[in-house]
Amino acid sequence: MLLCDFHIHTTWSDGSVALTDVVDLYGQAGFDVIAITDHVYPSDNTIGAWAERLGKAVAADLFPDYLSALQQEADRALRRYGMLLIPGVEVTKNYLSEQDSAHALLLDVQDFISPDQSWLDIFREAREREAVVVACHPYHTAHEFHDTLHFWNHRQEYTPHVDAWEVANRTDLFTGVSLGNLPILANSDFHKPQHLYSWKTLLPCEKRVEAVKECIRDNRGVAITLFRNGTARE
Amino acid sequence: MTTLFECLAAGSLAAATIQAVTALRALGRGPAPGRPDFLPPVSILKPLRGIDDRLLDSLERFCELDYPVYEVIFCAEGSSDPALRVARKVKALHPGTDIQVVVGDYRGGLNHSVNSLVAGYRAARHPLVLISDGNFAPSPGYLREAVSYLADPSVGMITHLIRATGARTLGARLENSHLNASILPSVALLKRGGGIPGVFGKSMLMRKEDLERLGGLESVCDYLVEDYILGDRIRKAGKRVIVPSAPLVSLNVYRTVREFLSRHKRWNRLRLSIAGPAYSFEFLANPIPFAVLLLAASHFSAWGATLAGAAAAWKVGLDALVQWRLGERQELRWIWLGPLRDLLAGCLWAYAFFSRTVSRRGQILQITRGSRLVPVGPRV
Repeated sequence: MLLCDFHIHTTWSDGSVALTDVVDLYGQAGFDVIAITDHVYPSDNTIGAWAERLGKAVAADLFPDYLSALQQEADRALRRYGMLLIPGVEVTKNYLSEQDSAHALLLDVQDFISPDQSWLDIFREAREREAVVVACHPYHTAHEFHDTLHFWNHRQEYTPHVDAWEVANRTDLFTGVSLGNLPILANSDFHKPQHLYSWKTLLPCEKRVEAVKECIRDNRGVAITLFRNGTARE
Repeated sequence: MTTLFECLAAGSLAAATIQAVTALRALGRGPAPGRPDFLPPVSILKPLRGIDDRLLDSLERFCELDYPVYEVIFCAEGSSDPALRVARKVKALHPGTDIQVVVGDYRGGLNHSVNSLVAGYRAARHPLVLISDGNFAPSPGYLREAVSYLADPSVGMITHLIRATGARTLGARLENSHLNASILPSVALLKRGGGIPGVFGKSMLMRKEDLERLGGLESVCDYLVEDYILGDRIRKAGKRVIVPSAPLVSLNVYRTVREFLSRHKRWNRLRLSIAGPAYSFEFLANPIPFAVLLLAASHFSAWGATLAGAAAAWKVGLDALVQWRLGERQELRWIWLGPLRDLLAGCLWAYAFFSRTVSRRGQILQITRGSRLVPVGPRV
C-alpha cells in the first residue's frame, strides 16, 4: 500500500514550510506519494485578493513558475526518495456564510484552471484536463476557523463531478462521507510541520501518477490511517 | 535580601563559568587515541520510535560507515511504528549492507525503548554492540574511531557528547541551545570534575560479554535512563567509560516549544531520580533565575537592573562561546533567546520536585530512585 497525502500547502501560499523542505519532510518520513496543493482564489474574492497581495496564494500570473518549481522538486523527490510528487491546487472560495464556502483540490493540474468559473465549470474543465477532483473538509471541522459546507449541502448535485471526498482531514473524521458511501481520501491539510502527524491515505496501486489517479477514481481498496509519531497516550 | 541574591547570582555565574570552561576544554582535549587496527565485527542496534527529524538520512548514514564488518539492526517495539516503513526503505536502498528490521516481541519491561532493544539484541551476531538511539547522523569514520578505544581491555564503554543542530523553529532553537549551552557543559563538568560519565543513549559501544556480565539489557528494562544505568554499572565494575572529544551531531529541526518543555520536564524528573539531593546544585549553574530574583528583590531599581543585566550578558557570552566552539556559528544570531530559555529551564527544574510519575499507554508509572519505574494503580 502506498502511503499518500494529497493536501499539502507550502510557502507558495499560506504554508509555513518551503516547498523543498516539505519534500524533505515527507521523503524522510517514508511517504510514497504527495500532492502539493497551494491555494488559488477567484479574482473577485476580497480575501483572495489580499492573500495574493501578501503572497499567501498562487496568482494566475505566477502559476507557470509554481508548476515549474513543483516539476523541479518532483524530479528531486523521485530521485532522492523514490517519492511521487503530484502538482495540484486547492481552489478556495470563502464567503461570509460557511454554507456557501467550499474548497476543492485539483490533482495533477498542468495548466491554470480559472477559479472564477462556477464550481461545475471548474470540475468539468478539470476532468477534461484529466485532473482528479477532491472535495476538501466538506463538513464541520475542529481546526478550521471557517467551515466549508457548500459541497456537503449540495452533495447530490456535486457527487457525479467529484472523484473523492475527504473522509478525514488532519485530525477530523467526517462520518457522513463514509455513511454516504462516497469515494474517500484522507489528508493532512498540511500547513506546518506538526501537521505531518494526521490522517493519511493508503492506496493499493503502483507508484505511477496515472495509476494513483485511477486508484483514487476507482476508490476500491482505499484505506485511511492515522499517521502518529509515537504511541497513543504516551 | 538583595545582598543574598547578589551573592547567589555571583555564585551562580561562577558555577556557569566553570561549567562552560570545562566544556570548552573537554571539546578540545580527548582521551589518548585507541588502536586503529582493532576492527572486530560490530552489531549496531537502532531502536526506532516514531519519525525523528531527517530520519531517512540518519538511518542511511549507519549504512555508509567506513568499517569492514558490521550489521545494522533496526528494532521497533510494535508493527505500527511509522519509522518501520523508513527502515524498510533504507534496507531496500542499501542491499550491500547487512541490515535486519526487527519488530520486537519482548514485553518484559516498562521502558518500551529497551523492550525493542532486547528484541534487536537477541538478533545481534557480533561480539561488540553499539546502541544508538535517536536522530544523529554519524560521519563515516565514527565507528572505526569508537571501536579503536576498546582495544584496551580496561575500557568498558564508549559514549559521546552530543551537539544539537539544524533548528528551523523556536522550539528547536530552544532545544538545541539548551542541549549545547547547558546540558553539554554540565555533562562535561560531571565527567571532568566528578569522574561520572554522562552516558547518552545516542551512542553506547560496549562488548557483549561485558553487557551480559552486568545482567544484560533485560536487567535495565524497567529503568527510564537505561543508558546512564549501564554506564554507571560499567564504571562500578572497574572499567573505564571513554568520551571522545568530538561530539556527535544530533538533528532537531522542527521541534515545537511544547515538545521542548515536555522533554525537559521528563529529563529533569529523571535527573532528580538519579542524582537525589545533588540535583539541587544544577539550579546553581543557571544564573538567570537568580538575576530575575535579584531584580525583584531590589524593587526593580537601576542598580538591580544593572546587576541582572550584567549577569544575563555574562551568561549569554558563555553560551555564545560554547556554541561558537561547537561550530554552531549560524545560531549566534539567536543567542538572545538564552535568558528566556534559562528562565524556562529554571521553572522546569523546579517542576521536577512536584511530579514523579509518567503515563505510558494508559498506565501511570512512578519514577523511583535511579529512574526505576513502578506501576501505580490499574491500567486505565
